[in-house]
Amino acid sequence: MTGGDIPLSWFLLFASAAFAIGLFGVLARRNAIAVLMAIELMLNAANINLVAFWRYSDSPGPEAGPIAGVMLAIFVITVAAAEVAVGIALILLCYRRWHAADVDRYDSLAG
Amino acid sequence: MPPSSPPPIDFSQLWALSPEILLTLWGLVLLLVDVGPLRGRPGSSRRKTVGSLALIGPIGVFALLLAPLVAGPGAGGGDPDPTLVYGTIAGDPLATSFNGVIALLLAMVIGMSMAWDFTEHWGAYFALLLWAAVGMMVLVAAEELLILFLALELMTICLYLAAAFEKDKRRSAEAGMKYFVYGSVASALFLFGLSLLYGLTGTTFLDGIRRVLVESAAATGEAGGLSGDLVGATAVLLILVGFGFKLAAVPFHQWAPDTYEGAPAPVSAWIASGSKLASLVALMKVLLHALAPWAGAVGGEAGGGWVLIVAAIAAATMTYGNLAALAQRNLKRMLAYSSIAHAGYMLVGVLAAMVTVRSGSSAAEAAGAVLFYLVIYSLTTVGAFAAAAWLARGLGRDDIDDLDGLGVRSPGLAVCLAILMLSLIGLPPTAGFVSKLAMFLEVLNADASARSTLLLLVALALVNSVISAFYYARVLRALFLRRSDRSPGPAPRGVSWPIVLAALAAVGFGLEPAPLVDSMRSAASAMLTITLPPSPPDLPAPAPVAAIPVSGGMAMQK
Amino acid sequence: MQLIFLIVSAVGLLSALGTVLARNLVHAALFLVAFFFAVACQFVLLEAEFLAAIQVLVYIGAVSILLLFGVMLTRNIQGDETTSGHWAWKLPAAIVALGVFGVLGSSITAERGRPGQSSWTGTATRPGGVNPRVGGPASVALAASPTGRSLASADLDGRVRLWLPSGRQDSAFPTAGSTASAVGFSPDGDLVAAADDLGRVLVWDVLARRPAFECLGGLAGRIASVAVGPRRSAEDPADRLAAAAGLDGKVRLWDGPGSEPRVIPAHDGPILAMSFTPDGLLVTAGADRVVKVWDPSPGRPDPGDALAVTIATEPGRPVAALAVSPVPPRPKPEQGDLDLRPGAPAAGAPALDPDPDPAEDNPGGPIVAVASLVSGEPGRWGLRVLDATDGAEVASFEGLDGVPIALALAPDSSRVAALVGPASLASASPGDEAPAAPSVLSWEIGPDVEDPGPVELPVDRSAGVGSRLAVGAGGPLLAIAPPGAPIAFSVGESGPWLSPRSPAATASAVVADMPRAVGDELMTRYVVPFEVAGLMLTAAIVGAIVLARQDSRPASAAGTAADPTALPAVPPVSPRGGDGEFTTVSVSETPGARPER
Repeated sequence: MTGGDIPLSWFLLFASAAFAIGLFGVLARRNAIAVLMAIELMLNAANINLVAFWRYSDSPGPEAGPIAGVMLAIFVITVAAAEVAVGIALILLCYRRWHAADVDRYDSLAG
Repeated sequence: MPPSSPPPIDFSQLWALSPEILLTLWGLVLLLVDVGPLRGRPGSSRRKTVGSLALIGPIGVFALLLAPLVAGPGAGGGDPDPTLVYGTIAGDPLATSFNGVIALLLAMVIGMSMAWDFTEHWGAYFALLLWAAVGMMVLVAAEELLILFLALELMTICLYLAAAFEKDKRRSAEAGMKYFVYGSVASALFLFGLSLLYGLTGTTFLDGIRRVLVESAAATGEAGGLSGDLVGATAVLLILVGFGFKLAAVPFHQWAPDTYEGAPAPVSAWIASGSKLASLVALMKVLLHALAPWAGAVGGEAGGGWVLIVAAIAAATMTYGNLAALAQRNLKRMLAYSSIAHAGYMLVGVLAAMVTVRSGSSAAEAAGAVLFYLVIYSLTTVGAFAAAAWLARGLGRDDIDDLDGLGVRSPGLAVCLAILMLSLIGLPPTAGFVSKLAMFLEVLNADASARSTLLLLVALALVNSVISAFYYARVLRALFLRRSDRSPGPAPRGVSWPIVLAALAAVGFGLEPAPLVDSMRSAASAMLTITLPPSPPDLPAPAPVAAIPVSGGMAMQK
Repeated sequence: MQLIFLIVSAVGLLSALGTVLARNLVHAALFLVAFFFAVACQFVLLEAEFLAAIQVLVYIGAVSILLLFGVMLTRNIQGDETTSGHWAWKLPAAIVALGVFGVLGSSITAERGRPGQSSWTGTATRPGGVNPRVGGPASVALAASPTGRSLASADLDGRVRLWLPSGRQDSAFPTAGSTASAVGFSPDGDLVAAADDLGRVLVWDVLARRPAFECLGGLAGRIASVAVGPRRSAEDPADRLAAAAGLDGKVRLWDGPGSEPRVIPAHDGPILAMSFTPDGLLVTAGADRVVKVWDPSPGRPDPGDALAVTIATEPGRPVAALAVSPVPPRPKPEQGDLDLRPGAPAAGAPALDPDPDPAEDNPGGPIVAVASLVSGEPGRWGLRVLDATDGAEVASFEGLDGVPIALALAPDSSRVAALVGPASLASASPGDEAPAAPSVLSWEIGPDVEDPGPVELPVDRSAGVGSRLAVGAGGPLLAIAPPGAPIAFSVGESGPWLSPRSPAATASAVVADMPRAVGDELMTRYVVPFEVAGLMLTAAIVGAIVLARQDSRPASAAGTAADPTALPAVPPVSPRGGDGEFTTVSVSETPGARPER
């Protein structure tokens, strides 16, 4: 267990796969909550990228501090929480007006 | 404190961030006033009280911006380093002047909001407007990608919510929902691009990224550009998607018409002006400064770069926006497509700025022309949306036909609106003409290799301007040539003064553009020359070891 | 580790797929929780345990709950079957997603890393290892560049680091899964080489900060000295000789990258120092007290014949330490002429060279410094600096105050330095009282030096046996690498010793104390994002509360009477308000439709 024998690219590939799955969810799902979940997948993928790049970098950017990647990830988690709060509020609002949670049921505006 | 910690914050720098701090706190005050002293009062009276209080926010920002001028030069300190708080935020002329512009737009939007009762929650509504302004100000000043991302999120989250604030209207909730879904997907894509860029360069600072890219291009001996650099290309593409969404550039524009039409007119105005203004400035910072080494060539034989992508987006954006606007009946929807088209024009300007930045002859002029155009566009479009607010107050809807006959009933405002439309078309003697001319003339300063491609784009933009004249002319026709028995009634003060102010600005800067052009040029040159502090706090060492408790390290023995 | 990663990844990706494919939204939410947990495990694998805790708390604790609430409040009416899209929608979406994954995956696996960065696919040890000791990795070998611009160290965490004379880390080169035991510069200072414990010699370009070439097939481990020859052709900067000398007394010579090494049995004992001269000769010095000069060029019929053999010390005088410098000492350069490149070949920077042919004014070749016992007398050690070609003594310093532990010559032969420990360090008897502290002595050498010194610099007690020493060219730079401790620099004439915190060391320190580091960062560098994020959360919560309340109570002022048909969207004012709203009022009314009323 001395040191990770895991290459950086494995983490990146995992993140890319999660990102692609999230993108698929965003494009294929119509339920707004499902879309929200898919967005969470994509944000998490970006987080893994950030932390992996931070951990494997030899000379972290001097101006961004020694734990830049972790700090970025923490703020991304904050953003994700805020987005979910806003998203759920909007979904409930629309649900009360349409009685549907599918994005393409909201069609009062000619899209 | 571990040795990795940077020095503590210099609190004197907070003065430069005072507009943001003022608006943040003032938003909280409004929120508390609305749920506290005004609790139980009817909505319309709270609207007037909270709205008037909210106006103090932008006025306070003006006071703060003017204070150093009144106090005389040198009072604010002639700091040669324009960055604040470890180089993450710029306190340069760009940030200062755009703080003023954003405050002005905010005041106009607040004025429009006081026109009619579209919500019950005035405290929260005005607080969200103010906080969105904070996001825009931080976005304009951001020198680091994390802050840029967070400011973008702050701004858009406030706008998602505000867009859904109109009570009793399904389309408002739908506007917020669509804006939210597209927006959060775009920010997820942007964030993934950001993470790749961080991995490639090891830093999130705009100037740091530029430095790394320049160094690596020098080390590999390749010219700039993205050819063969798949990761870099993906990162740039994802970041462009994020910005393209905020700007409503074409492949990512689907939300814009629905949101602009569905949201209350002041919120639509705020999205169309402030959000677009701040995002475009941030885009220029990222593209022209940080990612400039990846620009690639436009027309030459060298490897491609983001200029080709941006050129394609610009061409598609202005063409689609103008053609789609022709078919619209709703005023706000028409303005939405017009704002899409204008985003295309601005991207052409960004391209011209990039190409001239590279040849180095007139870097600040080209970027300054884009900023000038941006400011003029924002002012005129807010004025145009104020007309929509007027209609929504008087008639409850906002189609172009509802403007019928206003030329007879309110000739003054109708003339002002006509001026705004002329400015949006880009006809002399309005500022829209001058700014468009200035921006497109910069193309002539481009590299010889790039000039033909750019001239093609400019020709396309001119054709598009001609097309756009048709749909703006429909507004003019409705104003002056049609008669109608339904009238929105006299315009409230909150609607009339933004229209008059925007029209005055359009005419004034059209006849005498020099002051604004000069200040925008200085802002642009500040934006393009900003660098990290010369000696970044890269390593706390070398410091005498005796000062650092290092276990197992070397200690000085004397 | 790899197995754990693969299991976690498989679980994570399967649950991600489940999230987007599950028809039942509650199942999707549960899959999402599993995915969040897998991501938290990835964070633990990346040694960001604190972040993993935040991930669990915020995502699983708050976000998932919120999402489940949303599902519960909205799924009464809609059957589960409508929540997933049509195949006509899914197919293009799947194609787009697969395309994105294909582009990302191929670009990631193709990424070779940027200058100064390691390849993204290499299985390099992560900097600092798993929760490493605070203070950073220790160095096992040091070398000073002939240009005087940098210093190289071979570090225990599998990196070769370049340091600026100020003590700042310039770059770090990963050795791709091994640990280097020796490091050396080429005579022109353009390349730095390291010999690792897999029998390879890895060579990097100093300026471009990227790998130049590597030579395989050498002695695995037990390499004490490595060197790269001068450039042989103008076209190919990589066309050079590389040599590694080991404790087995043999020199392995590679004739450019990709060739098989030639083995030259050079010495009877371990080879302690080796260097290429600017004109392509190889100097070796062994523990057998012999210094040899070789012509290593492949055209030589018998490379085993040394050009010159010099006996460094008489028999019976054990050698404590040896050092080699590729050039003879020369007159002092002008003041401020730090850019001098004494080791450069004639093509190199002649303008800076005060005399075009140093051999004319300063007959002599590369020099060797030897620290040995004086006339067999126990406890009295002396230092001699010899010309390697003819054995002529350049300088001699008698009467060292202790045992020489390490010896270093500046690459321009301007100075020699010795780490001298107290006598008891070498021949410690258990009864002795605590030994005095070791110190570094440095002398100036050269034809016109009047007062050679020494300058004495006390060092930490940890700098005992096993320490490495390096002297920079063209300036009073000294560097010491004590065993198990980070490298320390002395920049001025008389210290003090500075221990720079390499980024890796800093990173390992903050990894060890992540919560505190995060707090510090939030209060300093990240204060603006902190405030912005706080404001963003406030705005989100305020707005969400307002939207949640928007229809839940009857509107008071506008006179909107609560609509008995449970269609609060009906606009009360305008007959045409919100175009087309009436066209889609096909929503069935269901008892569960008004959860808020």
